[in-house]
Amino acid sequence: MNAEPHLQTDPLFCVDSLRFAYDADPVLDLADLEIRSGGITVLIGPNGSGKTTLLKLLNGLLPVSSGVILYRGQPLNPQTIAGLRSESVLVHQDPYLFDGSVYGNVSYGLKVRRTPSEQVHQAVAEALRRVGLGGFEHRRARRLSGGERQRVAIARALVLDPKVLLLDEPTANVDVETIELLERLILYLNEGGTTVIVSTHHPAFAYRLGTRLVLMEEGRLVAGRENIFKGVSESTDERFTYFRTGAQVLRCPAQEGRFTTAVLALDDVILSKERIQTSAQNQFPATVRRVETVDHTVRVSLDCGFPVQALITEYSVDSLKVVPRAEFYVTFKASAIRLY
Amino acid sequence: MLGAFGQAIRLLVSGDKEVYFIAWTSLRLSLVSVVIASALSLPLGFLIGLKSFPAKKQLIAFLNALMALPTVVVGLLVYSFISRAGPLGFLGLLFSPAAIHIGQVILCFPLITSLVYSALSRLDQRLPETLITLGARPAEVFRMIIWEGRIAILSALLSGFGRVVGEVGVAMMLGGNIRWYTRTLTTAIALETSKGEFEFGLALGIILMAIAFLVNFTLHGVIKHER
Repeated sequence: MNAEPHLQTDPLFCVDSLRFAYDADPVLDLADLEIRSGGITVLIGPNGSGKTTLLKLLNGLLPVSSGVILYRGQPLNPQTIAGLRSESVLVHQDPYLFDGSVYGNVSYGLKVRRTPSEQVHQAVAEALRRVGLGGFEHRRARRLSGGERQRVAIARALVLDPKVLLLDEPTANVDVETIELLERLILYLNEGGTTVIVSTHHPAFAYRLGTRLVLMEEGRLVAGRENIFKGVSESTDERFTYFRTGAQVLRCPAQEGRFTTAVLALDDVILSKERIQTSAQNQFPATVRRVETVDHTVRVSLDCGFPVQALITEYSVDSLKVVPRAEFYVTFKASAIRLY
Repeated sequence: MLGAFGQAIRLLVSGDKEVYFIAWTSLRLSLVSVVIASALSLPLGFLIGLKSFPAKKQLIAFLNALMALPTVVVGLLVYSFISRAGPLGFLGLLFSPAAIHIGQVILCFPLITSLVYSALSRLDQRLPETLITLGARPAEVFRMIIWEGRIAILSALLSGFGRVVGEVGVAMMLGGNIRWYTRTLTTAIALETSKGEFEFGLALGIILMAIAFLVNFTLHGVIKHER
């Protein structure tokens, strides 16, 4: 990941050696994970990968039985949980709406906080307007459509003005219009300083929104195999779409629209000592920042005016002498880039 | 049978004070017993339904066994405690409404607890999680769970009411069927039948059923209106 515009340096959550099991069935085993304030962290992975369990642990809805979760430097336990609860809200996948009106649902969190009723009215109206349900106060919550119910649940969370918003699969079972609204809403909240942690199956949603993607499989974190470049598509001609990220402009397959994310597989990036004659349209001088070996492949992090990673073999590392601060050229094809 | 219906209606419209008193006694004793039992059953049902603790399974099995207690056995047991010679005889409770309450509470407490527990154990896990994440404290979680589960809890209370309003063993043995004091519809029916007044007994039975239906319909009506 390269662009994390609202990210602050203090870690919001630090997870260390966290294990969780339902009865004897282990569902989560995280060596370490750090989530910083101000970003949009997207948890992405198949069903059963532990995303929901992790979100519930981060919200204090499940007890930490093995390992540690630090929230703002404090370990989560029954004594410190109140601080987390007052600042964070989780919205479930297929949320539970209380029997009664939309107003009753959205106002609930404010009422338990003893907020004066005049403020409650205003805050509920504003939250509903924000999710596109203005005037829905007196509708029966359980008679709404799936997308509307999801929006009510989100309004019920954002009326509390949380510092941390945890969303579990908000794109599941909702229409395209609701997904677009959710994206706008999450970006708006994040710009206002809310840290968002969201799980999804929806790759396009994840790529567009995430300032950081956390990949999960079978309860473990797995290293991402894609570069995700944040930026903006500047122009398009008959041959290419030009996508600016960091100090460079990438040539991408020509397509109409406005794009904010470019995705490139790590093994589509070629490293060379010299500039090479090739059909590939993107070639930039780069400096090696870090070299890590994972399962007989080597992940090389470089800076070429934007951060990029390449996956190469140990043989290539030795033959090309890939070491930190070495100068290389990175090359990749325009057609290898996907825009979102 | 038709004659009994006619007599039941005649008894009600004639304004027979004793019949009204007996019907009111049955209703009052049963409702108060259910209220007392629910004050014990609801917290225990919540505890069993929502929390894990040692010997939970044994407690559930014990409650299930208690549900099958014959009313006469409960009457006998309580009688042995509160009769003059019993350990609580000095309280002078025998043949009083209080004695009937003790017996009826013992009868309906396990039934209400089991039904509340079983309703709560099927509770949608997202409800308590949603309440907690929205900042509700334990008392508010408890209150909201009662509200969201009110239909199942009401059914449990009505089942308890049904168990006590129609029982005769406890009311007879502990209340003594004393006229203008502890005589209930069931003890009156037993008395009239033993005197050979089948039609009158049947008429009282019809009034008893009418009361049970009325209580059920009224409470269900209130809930439906709320929804």
